[in-house]
Amino acid sequence: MKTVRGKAAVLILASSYDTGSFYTHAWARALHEDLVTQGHAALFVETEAVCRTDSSLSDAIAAAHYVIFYGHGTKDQWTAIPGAPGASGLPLIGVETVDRFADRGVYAACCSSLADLGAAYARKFPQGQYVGYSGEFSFEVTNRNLFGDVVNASIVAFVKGAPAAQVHADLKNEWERLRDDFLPPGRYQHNRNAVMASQRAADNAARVGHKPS
Amino acid sequence: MARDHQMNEAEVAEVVEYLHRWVAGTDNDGPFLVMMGRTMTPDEFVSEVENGTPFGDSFLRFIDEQARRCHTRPLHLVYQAIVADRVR
Repeated sequence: MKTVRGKAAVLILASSYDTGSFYTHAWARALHEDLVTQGHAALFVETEAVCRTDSSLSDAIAAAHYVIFYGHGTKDQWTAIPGAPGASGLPLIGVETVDRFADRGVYAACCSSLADLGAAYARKFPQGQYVGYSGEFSFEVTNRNLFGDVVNASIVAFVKGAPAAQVHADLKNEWERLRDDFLPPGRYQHNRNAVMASQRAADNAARVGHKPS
Repeated sequence: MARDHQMNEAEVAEVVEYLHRWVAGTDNDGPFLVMMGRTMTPDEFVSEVENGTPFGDSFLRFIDEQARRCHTRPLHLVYQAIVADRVR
């Protein structure tokens, strides 16, 4: 599915059922505004409204060039709805339903999904592009908007046509730049909790990746 | 538990003392670090460092490495967090 004159159709999926996802949901809203005001078509969907048995998710993916997810992930799934205590959550998309991605470009702003879900995607779509994290994705709350800016800028580059390998390389550099910005003599060294935020950025740099690699 | 960094026990104790001062200037029971699997409060963060958990040790290793890169002391990096909390 080709973009038209550089304008992409983007599906943004976001959950907001706990502290972490509540904050990343705000990043997703900011991305939505950015993309729409730049002339892209962007559909914003709450994950709680769609689940693995809902055909509306497949319809929304079919209409998009790119699928973006903000929320919680595990190695083998994106989580739509949290599970009961001690139980796993209801998946939005998992290894067993990876076909639903078709050949769309995928960006997962969540933990761990690059490992198994990303690998399953790469096997199914060898020409596809999946950007995500191979381990925990994290941020510091006071400085969360700086983390969100890094994530959203990389997504904008992705939907404008940058290949996943380039997005991965640039994003790793941006996380390392943010790590250094929180340390002397960086511009955010005097921010509240700067050193703790620096470590979160460093960990994100180490865990970001892409498939097929 | 063996610690995975080059700081000696006295340096670690000093960092922990400063982290307790830092906590006093924070919303110590509020959300602080979001790991998208759990959210850690400042109190929990200090406990992890003080108890030498893998997460706590990773913080000590990080400030040890970064302090070398920045030509400063690990304690200074924690001190800046305290100062930042007091000036706001």
